[in-house]
Amino acid sequence: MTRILSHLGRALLLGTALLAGTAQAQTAARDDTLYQQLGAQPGLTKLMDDFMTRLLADSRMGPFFKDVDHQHVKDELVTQFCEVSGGPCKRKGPDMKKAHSGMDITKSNFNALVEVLQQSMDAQGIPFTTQNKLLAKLAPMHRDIINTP
Amino acid sequence: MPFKPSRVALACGVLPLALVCAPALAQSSPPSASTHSGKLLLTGGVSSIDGAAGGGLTPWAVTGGYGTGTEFGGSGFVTRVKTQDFGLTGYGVAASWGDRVEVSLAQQDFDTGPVGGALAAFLGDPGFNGLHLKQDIVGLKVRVAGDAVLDSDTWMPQVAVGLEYKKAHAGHLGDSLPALGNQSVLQLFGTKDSGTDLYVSATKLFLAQGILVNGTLRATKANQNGLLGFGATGHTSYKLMPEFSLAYLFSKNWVAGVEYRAKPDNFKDNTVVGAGALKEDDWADVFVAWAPCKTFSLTAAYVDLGKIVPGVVDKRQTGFYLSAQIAF
Amino acid sequence: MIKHTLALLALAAGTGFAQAGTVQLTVLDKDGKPAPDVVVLLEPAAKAKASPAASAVVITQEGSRFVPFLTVVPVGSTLRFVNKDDYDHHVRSGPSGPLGSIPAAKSFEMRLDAAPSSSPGGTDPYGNAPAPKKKGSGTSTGEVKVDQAGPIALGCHIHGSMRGQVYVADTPWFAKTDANGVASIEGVPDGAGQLTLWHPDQLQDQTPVRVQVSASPVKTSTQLNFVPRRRRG
Repeated sequence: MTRILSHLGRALLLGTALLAGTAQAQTAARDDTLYQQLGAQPGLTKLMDDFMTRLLADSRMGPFFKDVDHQHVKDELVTQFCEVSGGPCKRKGPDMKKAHSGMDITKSNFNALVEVLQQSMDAQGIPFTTQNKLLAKLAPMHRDIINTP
Repeated sequence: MPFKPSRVALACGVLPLALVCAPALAQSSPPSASTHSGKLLLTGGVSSIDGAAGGGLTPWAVTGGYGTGTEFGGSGFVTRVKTQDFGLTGYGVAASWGDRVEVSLAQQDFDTGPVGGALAAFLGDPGFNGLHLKQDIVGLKVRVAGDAVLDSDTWMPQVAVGLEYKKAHAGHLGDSLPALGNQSVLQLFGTKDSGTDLYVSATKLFLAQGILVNGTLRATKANQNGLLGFGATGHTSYKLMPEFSLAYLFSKNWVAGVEYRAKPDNFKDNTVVGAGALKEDDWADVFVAWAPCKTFSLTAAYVDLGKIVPGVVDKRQTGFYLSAQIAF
Repeated sequence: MIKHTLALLALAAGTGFAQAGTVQLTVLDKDGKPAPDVVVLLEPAAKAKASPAASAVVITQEGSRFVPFLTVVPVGSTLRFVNKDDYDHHVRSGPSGPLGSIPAAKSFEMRLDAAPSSSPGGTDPYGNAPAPKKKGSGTSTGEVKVDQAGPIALGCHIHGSMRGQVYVADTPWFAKTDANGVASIEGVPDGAGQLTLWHPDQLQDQTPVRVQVSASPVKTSTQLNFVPRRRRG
């Protein structure tokens, strides 16, 4: 009985894996080059750790981040960056607009955050061209995030 | 020969400014105590020769300084251009509000070299030897659409419209030719002393590729950017001139590119001093800009200004362009 | 005899130009040398409109020169350009004045073939062979009516150093100075008049000369406020 179950289990696992595989095959025309260039999961985690440290220490950004759940935000950011860079992640949760509607965010704030991100990426030794590719994916979010002129 | 003093002056100006950047250059662990300035490095372009933010020769749709949103930004520049027979010094300031409006003030001082000498001989007045033609420029630019950097998922560029009011000071002729009183030497050629350029610029930074493209369309009557007056006998209407810039971002602090600027050539009919004596050529340059920090940038270029008054100097004018800018 | 003379006098007095005189002006440059090719315009107290020349006024192109260099015509006249060289010319108008600040009173251009009677195979001073006949305009003569007063500089698109000058006068009384700097105007109404001078190379206006015209010829002279450049040839 247990052998049958384990066989079934394995078959299910395989089936799921295959399904997941085909699902991924369908959506991956998804190119994960950028994701790999950023160091995949470990790289992004390291980046976000550094990013959060810098944000809290930055005189412009500190106020926005000091009262939030740092670990939660870091996890969200890792998932977000993983997704936009072509990695195997899917961000769940409120969209960008809703997530930021509770704060007044100006273009200056947005640009300041980008600067801090650039500093983090510099510190992680991420090449300039790779940095720009990531920024190019993130920049359009300004429309949903900036809510104050 | 006048180059040596400028080099010293520039070095004295540049070094202290570079030192200003030193604290910001320490990029490792300690995060910078940043200023309020809200724009990314080099996204304000550099100061063009007419004072507006952009490339060296042409205005872009970006506004100068680093203010964004409701912030003020500002910049100041000094530029020196030197070709085989001519020299130009320019300096000015610009102020911007948000990245919406930019106002600029600039002055240009053009050393006419052999042309001054030719005028002195022609008018029989040695006072024209070493003639310097000066020009004041007041600029206004308004961004009307788009964001050059952040609209990275569309083809939409940042678009701005602007004007440059230019007033030339060519010195009047009253001393040597009393009957001509307040007329300037420019009016002898049938040109006017002042004019306004109107332009529209579209600028886009293809962020993923690190390539910046700008196209400007300028309605102008200016001869040699206004240094030889505006319009000419029988050519008093506006001409539409295209201008292009193409730049590549090597790193956060380094940009290099090329520029091209078409010129109207209003004097083409004026053959009294010789056919094509006042022919005007297009301008082009290859440039590299370095911004160690937001406060300071240095631009160096190799310029090709074509022939300038070929009736006097029939030689293609090429040389260097050097510009230092401080911004906040 | 006396009756005959009296009759002659009466006849002279009775003609339309009885109240008319002659003005002869000698123009010297600032150094005192005779100044040729100076435009002289006379306006009497009672101004009159110029009437166009009866027939086309000819300006030829010979040896890559405009002949004559200076042509003064009354407003409304027709200029006829005749190419006598055995190579093409492309006549065009341009601004006048030493640095080209005076707009042309009339803008025109015309491509004129080599003269028809010429032998093919000649070259102009620049070594340009005559253009093949089929590329030409089909004619070596061109006309243009000048209906506005003022100067018109003449040039050639092909031969950059070709220079000429036209002056369209809005007064019926005009002349140009000859090689000796002398200009004569006849049939001028009696009374006060003013002579205006114009030279294509002048930077400043010349001082007008006042004359009093009567039966006896008026002879006067004046000096330019500058020394014109020597013209090539």
